[in-house]
Amino acid sequence: MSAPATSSVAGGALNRLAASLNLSRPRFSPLTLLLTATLAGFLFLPNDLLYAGSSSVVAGLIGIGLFLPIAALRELPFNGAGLAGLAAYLFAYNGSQGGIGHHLIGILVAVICVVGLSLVGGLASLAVTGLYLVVATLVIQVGIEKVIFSIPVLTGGASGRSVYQPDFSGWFSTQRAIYVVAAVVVFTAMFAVHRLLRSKLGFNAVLVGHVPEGAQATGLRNWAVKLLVFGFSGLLIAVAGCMSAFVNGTPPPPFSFGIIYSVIFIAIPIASGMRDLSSIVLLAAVFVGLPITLEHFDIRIVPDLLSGVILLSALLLARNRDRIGSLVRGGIARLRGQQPASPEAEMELTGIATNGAAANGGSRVPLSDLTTVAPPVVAPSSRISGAAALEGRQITVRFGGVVAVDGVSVRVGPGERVGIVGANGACKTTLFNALTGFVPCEGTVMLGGEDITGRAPFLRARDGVRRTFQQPRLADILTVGQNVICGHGAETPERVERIAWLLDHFGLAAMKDVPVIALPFGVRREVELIRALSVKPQVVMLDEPVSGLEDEEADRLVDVLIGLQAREGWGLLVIEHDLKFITAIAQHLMVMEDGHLLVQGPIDSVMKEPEVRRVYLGEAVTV
Amino acid sequence: MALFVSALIIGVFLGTIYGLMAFGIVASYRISRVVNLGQAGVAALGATVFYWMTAQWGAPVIVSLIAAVLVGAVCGGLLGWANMLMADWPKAFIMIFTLSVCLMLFALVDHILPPTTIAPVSPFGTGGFNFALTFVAAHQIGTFAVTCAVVLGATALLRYTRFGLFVRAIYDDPAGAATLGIPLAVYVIGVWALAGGMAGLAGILIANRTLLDTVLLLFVSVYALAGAILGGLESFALAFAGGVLIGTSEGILGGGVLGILPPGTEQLGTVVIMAIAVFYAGTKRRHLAHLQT
Repeated sequence: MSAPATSSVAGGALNRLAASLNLSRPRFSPLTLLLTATLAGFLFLPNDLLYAGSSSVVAGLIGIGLFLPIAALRELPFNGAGLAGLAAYLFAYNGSQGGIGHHLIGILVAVICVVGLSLVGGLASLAVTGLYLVVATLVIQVGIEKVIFSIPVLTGGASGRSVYQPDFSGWFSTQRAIYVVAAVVVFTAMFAVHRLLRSKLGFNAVLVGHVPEGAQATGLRNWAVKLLVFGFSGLLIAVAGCMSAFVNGTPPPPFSFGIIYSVIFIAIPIASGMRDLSSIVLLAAVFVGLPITLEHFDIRIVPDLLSGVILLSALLLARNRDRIGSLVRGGIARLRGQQPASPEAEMELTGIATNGAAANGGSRVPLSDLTTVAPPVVAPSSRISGAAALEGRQITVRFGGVVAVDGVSVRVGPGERVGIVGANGACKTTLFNALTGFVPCEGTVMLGGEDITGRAPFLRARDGVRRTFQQPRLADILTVGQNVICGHGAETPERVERIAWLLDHFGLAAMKDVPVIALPFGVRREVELIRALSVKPQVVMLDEPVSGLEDEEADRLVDVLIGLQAREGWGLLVIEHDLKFITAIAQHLMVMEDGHLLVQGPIDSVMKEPEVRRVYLGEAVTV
Repeated sequence: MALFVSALIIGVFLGTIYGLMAFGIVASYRISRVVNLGQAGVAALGATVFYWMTAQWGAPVIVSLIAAVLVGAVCGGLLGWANMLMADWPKAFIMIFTLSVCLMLFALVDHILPPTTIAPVSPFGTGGFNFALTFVAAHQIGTFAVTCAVVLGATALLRYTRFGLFVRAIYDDPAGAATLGIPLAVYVIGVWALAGGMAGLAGILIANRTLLDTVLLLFVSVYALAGAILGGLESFALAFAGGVLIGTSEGILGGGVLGILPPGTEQLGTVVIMAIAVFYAGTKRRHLAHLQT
């Protein structure tokens, strides 16, 4: 068995990167404090500068709205400015018709329309991704800009349409009141996004965006999650658009919502380093507020030059943030007369092990405990009651003219353990993919006597067909704890307790807060297995589960799986090359060659088959 | 009919310029895997240098043209060099870096140019001829010919020369190419310079129509990017075709061929065609991959 080769990979730099991406720990970082101070400081600015503050926080809200699809789904929507502009014009159009009622209707109409258009972008993301989605969102931006913004009735022409602004005098002036409203709205939105990112829904969105197959294997309806993210993003941008009209008294001219601003709005969350919401709002504040402030003091700088320099500075700051943070902490430590912490010590303080193997040495519960301590049983949301068998009848998979799997039948009953072996290229994984719905196939797939052949992968997962992949499909930027809680179903106390039990029994409890990117390959496999077992399955399908594990870890895996299966009675289907593992765990063995089933039966008899020894085991092997 | 021909000519004229910029975007993307948003800035600078040399210094058009393209190439090369220095940065960061450079170039251009909006002269003169009741400007014919010649020349350079062979080796596997002794820095900077030169030329050719307005040039660059992505960002031919598709649909559908339409709706057709094209390209990407240059 190969030793984990990832301890070197999980080196300091990688760990630091992982730590920086960690969404788990709500921290009151210096940046958050700086943002709070900045927002509070704006309030004491002279009246004529408060506009800079109001505009800054509104731009920050657009940045946060765009941050969601970037961070969770890794998609770049290039239509933020257009959507914000549309909201501003719709709000102003309705608001200018009358009093508060019309303004509320305006907000409602703006939110509905912008969320709807954002959902159109979300629908596009179901068909095309990456740079193609960039163009799709650009199309929406161009459509808004060229078509909708050229309707004078909507935009109010050159003079625009006025919206209500409060009328105060004295220190708490109109501008101050507007700023307070804008800041409160943006702060509330930031808090909501902050909570969302640290909720199960947020983790699910990240899983869908980073490893769609992994998300489906946990029962997530990917398209719904994507639409939800785009919808929420649209909601934030719609609110920002309405705020923009409110802050200005009338929506800015269409040029202010043009394509260049869409590009810049996308640049703000990226250049902020994509780490926390505070830095996005801070960068937006500098980007929008600084030119207005400089102009106030009659300091003339070509606007584009200032914008370019700000973006460049933000990139350099984001890139060197760890170094700067370390220097600042070191300086503070020296001022206090303490020894500055080394980077490795800092990693340990933040809960990130610098060596995954060392971290893996967490205490494990002795085997005997498996029989005395039972995990809570969390039933899946399956329509199939009781223990059910998974059966594939005459499964055939074609890729164009190539027949990858040719009429293979397989059955795993409750409490049974079936192994599949075969040389590389025997299409064992393709058979798995067919059984779990990831590739279309001919033949019939039955679960508990019900035909599930045409059912989507996430529905099969919900029915209790849980699987792992050859390359673990985990969201790297999430921690172990966040990855295993991901998936369909509520975060009930029973589920949390079951996961804790599984983490304990795999020796990973101490690593709950470690981002999986910092983990060795074998441990990542175990995390994926825990995720698959986080609800009681009907059938568990493992694709090369011990690859990357040490011998003792593999032995442990056998013990945990057999112990848990004996207790819960699910079926187990395993693909593995490791003969020691497969002979230890499987009762029944299938041998595949070139997409065909060569032979199957009880493991002892199959191992003695001359044909099996010829094609797979080799003549010298004695069982 | 005359309206259609006129709109078609404008569309093809615009499309070839989008295609020229798209070619440069694909070239820099393939060698560095970075979406170069700096093309608009380089185009603006190229057009400004051309305007300054012809209008202010009275330099011959051909000298000004070559100088402007060279300035574009130098800018592109510097961007490529910066890209090499940032090799371990996330690609999205480098993309935003190119945007910041673009904004700074815009600032430089705004600083150089007079406060009033101006248009550089056409390198091809002010002549023209009538065709199907439509006046075809020499600038349009010249732009079409020069653009096609440059794209064909660049394609030949990449396909049939030792330079092109090495560049394609880097496209496929930079690390593998480095182990063969190919000096990555030279070729990466060279390709970015080629892209910069193309952007400079595109800026000169388009500014005669859009005036030296940086925002409009950014629009041109975004349309070119859309064309490049429609072509899969891997194929020069398809990128050029993508640019021409966008330009032609913009020309025909925006040119009132379908009659007098309510305000705004004349652009709806372009939007719809772009939407259809992106979904076709996005969902058939594998199908189009074999058409790589």
